[in-house]
Amino acid sequence: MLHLANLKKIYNKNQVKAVDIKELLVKEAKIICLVGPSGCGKTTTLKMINRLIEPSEGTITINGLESSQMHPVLWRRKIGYVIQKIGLLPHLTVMQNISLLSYVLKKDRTFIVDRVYELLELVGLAPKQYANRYPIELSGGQRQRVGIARALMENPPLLLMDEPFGALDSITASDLRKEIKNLNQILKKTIIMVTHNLSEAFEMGDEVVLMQQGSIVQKGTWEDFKNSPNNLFVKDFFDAKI
Amino acid sequence: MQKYKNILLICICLFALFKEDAVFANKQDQSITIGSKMFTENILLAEMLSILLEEKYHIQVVKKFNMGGTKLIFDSLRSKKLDIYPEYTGTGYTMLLKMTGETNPKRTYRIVKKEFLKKFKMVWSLPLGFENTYALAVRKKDHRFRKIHTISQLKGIEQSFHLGMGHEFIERKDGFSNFSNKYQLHFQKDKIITMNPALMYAALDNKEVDMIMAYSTDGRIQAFYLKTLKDDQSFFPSYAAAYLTRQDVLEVWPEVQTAFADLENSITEKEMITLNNQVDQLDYGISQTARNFLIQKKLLVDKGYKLQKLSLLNYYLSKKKYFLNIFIEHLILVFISLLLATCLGVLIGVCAVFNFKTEKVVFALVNTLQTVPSIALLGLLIPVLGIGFAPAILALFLYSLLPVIRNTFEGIKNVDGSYIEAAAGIGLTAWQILTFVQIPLALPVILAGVRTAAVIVVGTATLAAYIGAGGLGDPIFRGIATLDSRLIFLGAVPTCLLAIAIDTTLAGLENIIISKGLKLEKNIKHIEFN
Repeated sequence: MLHLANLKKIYNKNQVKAVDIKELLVKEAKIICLVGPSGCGKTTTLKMINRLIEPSEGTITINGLESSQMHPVLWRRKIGYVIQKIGLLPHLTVMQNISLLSYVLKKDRTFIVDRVYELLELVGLAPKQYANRYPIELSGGQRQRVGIARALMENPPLLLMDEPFGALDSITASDLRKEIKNLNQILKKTIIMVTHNLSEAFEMGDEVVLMQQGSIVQKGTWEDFKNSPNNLFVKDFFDAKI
Repeated sequence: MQKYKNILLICICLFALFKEDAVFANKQDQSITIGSKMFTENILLAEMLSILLEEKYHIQVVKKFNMGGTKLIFDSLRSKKLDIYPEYTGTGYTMLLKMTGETNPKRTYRIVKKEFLKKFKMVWSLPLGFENTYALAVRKKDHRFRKIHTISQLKGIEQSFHLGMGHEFIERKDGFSNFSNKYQLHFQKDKIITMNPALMYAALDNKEVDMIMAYSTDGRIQAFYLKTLKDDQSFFPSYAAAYLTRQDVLEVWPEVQTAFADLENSITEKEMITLNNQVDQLDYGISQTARNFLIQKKLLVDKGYKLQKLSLLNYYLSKKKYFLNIFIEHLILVFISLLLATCLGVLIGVCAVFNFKTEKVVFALVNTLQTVPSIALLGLLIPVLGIGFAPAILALFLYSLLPVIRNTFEGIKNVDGSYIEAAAGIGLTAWQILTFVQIPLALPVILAGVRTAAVIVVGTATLAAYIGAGGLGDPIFRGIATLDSRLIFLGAVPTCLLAIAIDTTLAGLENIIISKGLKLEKNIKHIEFN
């Protein structure tokens, strides 16, 4: 479904390879978690997939369509994006936040309302009660649910999540994790998630990708990491975090 | 109404790169514009001619009284923004023709008449009868001057005196440096104080200075018990009062010539001192004093006017129409310059956000502009745009630009990066992010900038009167020129009230256009801080 090949990000100033991924293949409807120490390039990789950062080299393919054949703005519209700081616009209501792109693209008004209600229902917020609230009137967990609804608005096949639970307390985070797992099963969306929490990664991900200094050092399930770590770094990282 | 049509016309022309000639041609077809300098006597003479032309010859008159110095008013006459103003032969001889030597009144008049026609195509009216020359005046009661009657007698003792004079006297050809050379007087530099000519007399009376370069017909020479020292070496040229106009004005309105003849030799020096005294000391009002004099001289039919001191309330009521006029002028000045500053300021601010080079250039330029004193900025624009509305609006616009640009820039720059990342992530273009995210979030800051600009403009717009653009500054300048605090209040109080009113209106507007979500957020942050 998603295929990264020879993907590199090189910053001109010091010629350091921030990201250098030989290959990564993600199958339809899977959840893949990117983990690694800070500065290992996981967020950069995520941002290259939706081209908030343009790769220096390599190709990104989604369902056979290569990214360089498309304008970056149009490319992003096919990918849902959820970030740690959520980024709900404070001057817009929940409804307006979720439907901002549809509104800008001047889509049909009744379609927008129906779709937003459907999505609010899906993420567990009562539509009538929450649609006209402003972000400031919501709790942290509710805000991230709206953030997820916004990412789903255009019905993208792929969702990117950058530490989506980072700003939430542990109980809220654990609830939300279960719901995302649920959504993934109902909607059959492919999800790439960045996290620094290894146990969270194994709970959520069908597979976990461990990165170090821009490269992938191991990809696999809990058992793979436990039984056959590729090198000492993987073993240490695994032992320290679990 | 005609006036406002012209104002509107000027605004349009402002956009059409300030093509000014077309603006004033229209006004000229229908009315005569009479100007005056910024002191009582000159205003009185201008007012007399205005009344005479309007009521006896039924010509519509536009008044542009209280204009800055000789240079400004003369240039305005030359460039057809004015048609007539009262001038003195000596000023024409020394300052405008840049000639020296002649002090005989008749010969001076003949020279200026001939030279002005040749050089500028301008015509001097016949002399009005009195001379208003410079005179070195001292307090009669000052014992140090008991035995001194001529300027020459000052030699040797001049260093101990403080000397007050108008700004113009320092600059003139027949002015201070030549005066002290001729009499070989060496005043101490730090004891020479320049000020608004109207204020010198009070300064002398209060013993802040010991002698002043007074005008010989000023009513205050009598009122303050001053004596003038004789110009025993005939240094000062003859300053016979007359009206100055252009040849083409007389061709369009031959009646003006007749009006000049009416006033020829009609005012003696003593009468002029009395008239000045009536305005400056007795508070009879300029218009009333001028009208009464014309009636006295049988130049105007008596309709039962009686010279009387006006009560404060009556005084303001008598100025209702004038007040309404200047108030509207002020509003238009403020509104147009603020509108321009808001539109362009936001635009420039946005460009600065997106272009690092522009940012540096813009802020260097605008910050520098802000440091130029406003009165100097107005003065600097005169050679380019002349006098009146256009330069005033340009200056006010430039002045109000900085707060708008800076707040737009800061407001947009300080929008939290996560909002922009989220908006870009859902697939908005840069332009859509700007219009749907950055500007709405920066709006409270941008509007605060507009409010700051509005308060600056309302206050600074009073200076526009100095270059003939009218507004609430007009009575303030007139009040300073004639030492009339009622006039100053008439201008100052509405200016303050207008500033408050505009600020409140903008605050209300802010309340309407800023999203409820942002206001809620602001309130909650407030509570958290407390």
